[in-house]
Amino acid sequence: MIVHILEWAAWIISAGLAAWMIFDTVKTGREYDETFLTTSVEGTDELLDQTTTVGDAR
Amino acid sequence: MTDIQDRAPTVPPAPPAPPREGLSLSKVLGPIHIWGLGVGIVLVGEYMGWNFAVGKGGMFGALIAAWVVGVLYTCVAMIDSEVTSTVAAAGGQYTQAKHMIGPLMAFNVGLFLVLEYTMLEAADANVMSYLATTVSGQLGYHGSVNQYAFIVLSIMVLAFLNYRGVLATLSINFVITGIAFVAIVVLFFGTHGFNPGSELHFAGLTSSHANGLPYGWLGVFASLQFGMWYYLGIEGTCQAAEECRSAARSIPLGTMTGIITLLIAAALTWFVCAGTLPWQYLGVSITPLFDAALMTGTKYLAVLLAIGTILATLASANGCINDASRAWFSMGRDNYLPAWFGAIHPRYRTPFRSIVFLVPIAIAFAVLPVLLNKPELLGTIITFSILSALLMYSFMVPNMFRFRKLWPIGTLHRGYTHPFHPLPAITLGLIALLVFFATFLGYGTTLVTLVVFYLLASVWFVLFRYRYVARGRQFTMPWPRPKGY
Amino acid sequence: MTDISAPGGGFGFYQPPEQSPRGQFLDSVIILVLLMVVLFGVTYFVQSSTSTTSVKTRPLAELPITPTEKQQYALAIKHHLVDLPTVNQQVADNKEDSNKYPIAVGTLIVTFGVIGLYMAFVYVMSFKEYREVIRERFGPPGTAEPNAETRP
Repeated sequence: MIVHILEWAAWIISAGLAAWMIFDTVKTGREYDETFLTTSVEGTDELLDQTTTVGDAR
Repeated sequence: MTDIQDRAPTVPPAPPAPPREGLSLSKVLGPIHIWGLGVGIVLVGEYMGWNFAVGKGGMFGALIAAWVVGVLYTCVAMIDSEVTSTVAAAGGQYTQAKHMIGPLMAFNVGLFLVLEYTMLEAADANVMSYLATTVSGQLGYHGSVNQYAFIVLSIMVLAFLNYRGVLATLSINFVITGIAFVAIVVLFFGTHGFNPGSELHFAGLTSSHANGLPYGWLGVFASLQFGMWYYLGIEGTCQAAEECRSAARSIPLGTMTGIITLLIAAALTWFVCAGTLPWQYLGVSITPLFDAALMTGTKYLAVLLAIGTILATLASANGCINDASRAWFSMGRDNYLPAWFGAIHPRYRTPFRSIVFLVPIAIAFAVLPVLLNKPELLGTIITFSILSALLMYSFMVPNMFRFRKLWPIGTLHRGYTHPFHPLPAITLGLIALLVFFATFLGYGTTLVTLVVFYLLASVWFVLFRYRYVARGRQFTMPWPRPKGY
Repeated sequence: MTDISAPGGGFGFYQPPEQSPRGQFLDSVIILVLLMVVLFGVTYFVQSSTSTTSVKTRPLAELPITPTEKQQYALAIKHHLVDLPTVNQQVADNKEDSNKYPIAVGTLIVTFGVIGLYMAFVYVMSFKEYREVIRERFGPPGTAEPNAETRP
């Protein structure tokens, strides 16, 4: 019996989480400009700055 | 694809690149998170999967595999630590391939990463559902348990966690991975592993040839494939590079301590299981460490290892979602995949669309063994993961040679420089070739299927996808011109 | 693949077309379908057609295994890890066999041929594309400074 309750709980929680993630994804896409969401640039600042400290890099 | 604006491809000069100010992934991780990510993904391999090597080549086959593959991964960790301490980006090996080999290879490496981690995640979720059945059985329930519910639940909860932020995700991973590792150590002491013969029985290994090497030396080769499972995924630490406070320090430190942890865990696991379970059983067991604990008849050990198994599978699936989504996201960012995937959540600073997109794929492959009622299909899912990883390791060999050739030591700031080059790269190449052969012995069809998939995907990329990629701008590292070009 | 030199022999940049949302969606579907058809589909059909043979159940003492293994199996049965029919099945499936992995040379050649073909295609194309990337990023061979326009 308890197993059935757990199964149902699992389905309900999964559905809730899936619904929230889809809702939030759609909402974020509508609220923000697409170019803003995709502004990130590859690499880390620390390593991108390395050329200022390594003289022979250029 | 039908209504693309096919503008002329020759309009100099190129428009300015996107501004540096804007969204980026959060830089919040330290070495312990990297350890938690790396070991977290892999440690489940000790709790399940490695033992299929016993089925392929016997107890000694699995032990030799642990050693040989341990050498392979030490090479992987050395090479990766050097390259990643220089190329620190969320794509990890994908970004390396882009800068060292070329775009098509980068696309393939990106797919290797995604499939390696997504299939591993699927295997984790599958084991989780199996555990739900076993534990309910141990608690006295003998009806059927709906495994689909628990597969979907575990993937959903972890995807949600990943969606909401990387710091909490990997902090949790550090804690639960730590507990799972301690559980293995406790089992070693609980079975008096320091005093072999008292509780562990290795007589079976020496009294009969069958137990040690039932299929001869060819069986040892066959074992190599699942021997990968002891360590598979440690190279995933690179994927977190863009989110480290100091990548040049955290990645080598987290990766190297990670591989040491795994070498210890692999040795303890083989030792305890080989002394407790008959090889015929061990070779097909879904949860070998938990079974070894049950065999002791000690309740606290059984409970501890059940918890350890659950935590290890959770940690692994969690880390896999993290890594697979970073690779997918990085490819989106470069237009290798639709640019839509290259978005970062403005509030949680995670690649949220990639996380959501990969969820159904993981669920589909996690339910496959249940759907067909063939638990042994877990081996096939695992093989998809292993082979994708293996293809990536084989790429690391030319990658390393080219890295040193195109940018010799002294021309770039390397956070770490590995010793004995080119020995690690050559060793890696040779062992990778052996494991390909091993996979041919055990899973020939799966091997061909997977390679055909990558071949078709490559053709698609060249014909239909690469046209959306800006050529020069994908080279993002501020490096000098590669030597010889 | 694409001509990157500007008309008149000068050096230009490849300007990729922008992909419409519909095109992006289609591409996501394509890669998903490819994944599911090739990997999921092949596994589903190959595995559905295999079956295991069943064996007659004999008591533990009669099984062709070592005394240590018998003890361990007896313990495993006691702790409900396995039942006797499963033990029989496992012992039958895992017999000592020096010819467990027969190597079909033809299959081996085909398999490694496919891998070789795949790798050759990927490396040759990649190196070709890489030259293009470097030329656009750093200018024609001989140029020292990277192109400011392509710097991220």
